Amino acid sequence: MPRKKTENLDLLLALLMRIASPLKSITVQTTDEMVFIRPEDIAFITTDEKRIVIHDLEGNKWARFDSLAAMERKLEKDPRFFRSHRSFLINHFAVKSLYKGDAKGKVWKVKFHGAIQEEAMVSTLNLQEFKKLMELD
Amino acid sequence: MQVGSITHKLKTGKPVSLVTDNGFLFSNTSELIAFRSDNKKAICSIGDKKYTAVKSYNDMRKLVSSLPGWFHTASGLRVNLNHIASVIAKNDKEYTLVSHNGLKFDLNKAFYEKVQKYYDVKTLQHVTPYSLPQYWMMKLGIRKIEKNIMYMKIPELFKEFSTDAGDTIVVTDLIVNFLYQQVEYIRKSDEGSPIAGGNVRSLWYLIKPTLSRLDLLDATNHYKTLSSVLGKMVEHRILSYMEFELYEYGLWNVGLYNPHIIFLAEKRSHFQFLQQVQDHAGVTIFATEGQPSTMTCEYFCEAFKKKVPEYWKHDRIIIINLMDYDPHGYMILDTFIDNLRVFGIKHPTEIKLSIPENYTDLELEFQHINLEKEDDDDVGNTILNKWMKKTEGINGNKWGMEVDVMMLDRPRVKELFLAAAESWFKIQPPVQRKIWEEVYRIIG
Repeated sequence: MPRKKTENLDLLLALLMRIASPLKSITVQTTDEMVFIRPEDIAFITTDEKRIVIHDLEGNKWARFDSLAAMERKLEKDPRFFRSHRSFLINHFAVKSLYKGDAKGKVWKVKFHGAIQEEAMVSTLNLQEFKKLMELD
Repeated sequence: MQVGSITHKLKTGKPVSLVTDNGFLFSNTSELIAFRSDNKKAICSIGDKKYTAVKSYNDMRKLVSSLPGWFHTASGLRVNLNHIASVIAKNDKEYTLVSHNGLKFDLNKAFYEKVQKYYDVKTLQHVTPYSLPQYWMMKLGIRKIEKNIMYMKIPELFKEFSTDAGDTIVVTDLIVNFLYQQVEYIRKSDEGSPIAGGNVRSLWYLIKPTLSRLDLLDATNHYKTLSSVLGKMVEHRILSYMEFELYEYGLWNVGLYNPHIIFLAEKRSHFQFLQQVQDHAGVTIFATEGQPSTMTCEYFCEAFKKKVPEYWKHDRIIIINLMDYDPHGYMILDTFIDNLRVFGIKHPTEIKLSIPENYTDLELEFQHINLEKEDDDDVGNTILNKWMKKTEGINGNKWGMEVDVMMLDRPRVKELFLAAAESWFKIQPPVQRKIWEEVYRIIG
């Protein structure tokens, strides 16, 4: 296949990936319903005691009895997800801004597009890789 | 690649023409939520509106047959799962699919498997893995009820909480959902609990008028129903007494120096002695006053875990106890240890002080209780025999000892306690700060 065509296909695939995740929906349990959340609609996932909390782009929070590590494995084939911190798995397609969380720059935080008020953390250990993803390096 | 999701997001699909009052509407399959058969016609749902398709139901069925996300879910019904937000399991045969805009569609058992495979889940009954509280919430029939139960009209209450025949209210169902609704209100509110400082009765007074309107206050004592249901919900970690901010007056105090050692007594009258020991050794003290209440244990465990946050890593929890040497005393201790486990304090080591070895021969001979002759409804022969098997009573006789006999000689009990705790102390007594001495000095 000519190089140009391959590049175009890659670009198309990347664009499609932006639109929808290649993975199945994530399920969460409420009192009487099993709710399906599309991975592309997730802003970030964090931990809370023995549960994880999924924050979607509409600002809803969904609890799931699971570990962040298991969720990371489940979502590893979706390029939008990045383990930014021990307690955060973020959708970097949904990130709006990155900023220093303290004066020394030991803590970095991200804000998201959509209706999300909460911020997620980026550890110094993962900062370099995250900057690469966001084309800052 | 989830092609269905992409077409859904891009709002592209195969074209579909729909009939309107004065002409036609041109849409596509990705915008359709579902269509059902009606006299060979296809009635399509788009948003919250319904239209008849120009094509017949059969033709529409063929049109979507190869499209990802479209499924046959019930007789004469095709649903686009890309529009489905959730599923409700009515039982293990009937399910309801709920769209993002709240429309509901049947999913019958015959079509269940394909839908389950599409979502790639083990079951549509519940999420896996799921927590025990979630399991119990489903088991107890807890559901999301929009309207405040206290302000529901009688027909609404019957619609929500009656038996299948619709003529009798299921009181436990009403109370379980009332309690869950109340705790959900508290969780979402910034104001805290409206019954802060109250007790379980305060919750009862909130639901009593509703039960009165339903004429349900005559026959059964439903205060008991409420407190037992509440206890069950707490035990299954669905909610906690602390969330209601109920007043708790338990006789306990977490120690400053050796909090991992719990000195436990069965009787209220021994609490002052426990306080003296706490002042001397800095241990945790607790008087159960008979069967310990779940609420007291919850408050105690929360305070205890704050003081000894990682006990499972560093400290063994030791319960040195002053219980009657009889089946009752043993049952109280078992309940206490069970309650600790419910609230996250597991595998304690327990050391009993009131055992025959710690009494004098004279005390055993003259102060024992003949358990066979004791009139106790709670302790039948089976329980007594089990206890005998475990302890051998006193010299093989079905005899017990009231701990009060030992408590007549308090220096001896203190000595026994210190000997039992000696190898577990992190800070050797006497400790520096004597809390109760300070308290009594202040209050005179």
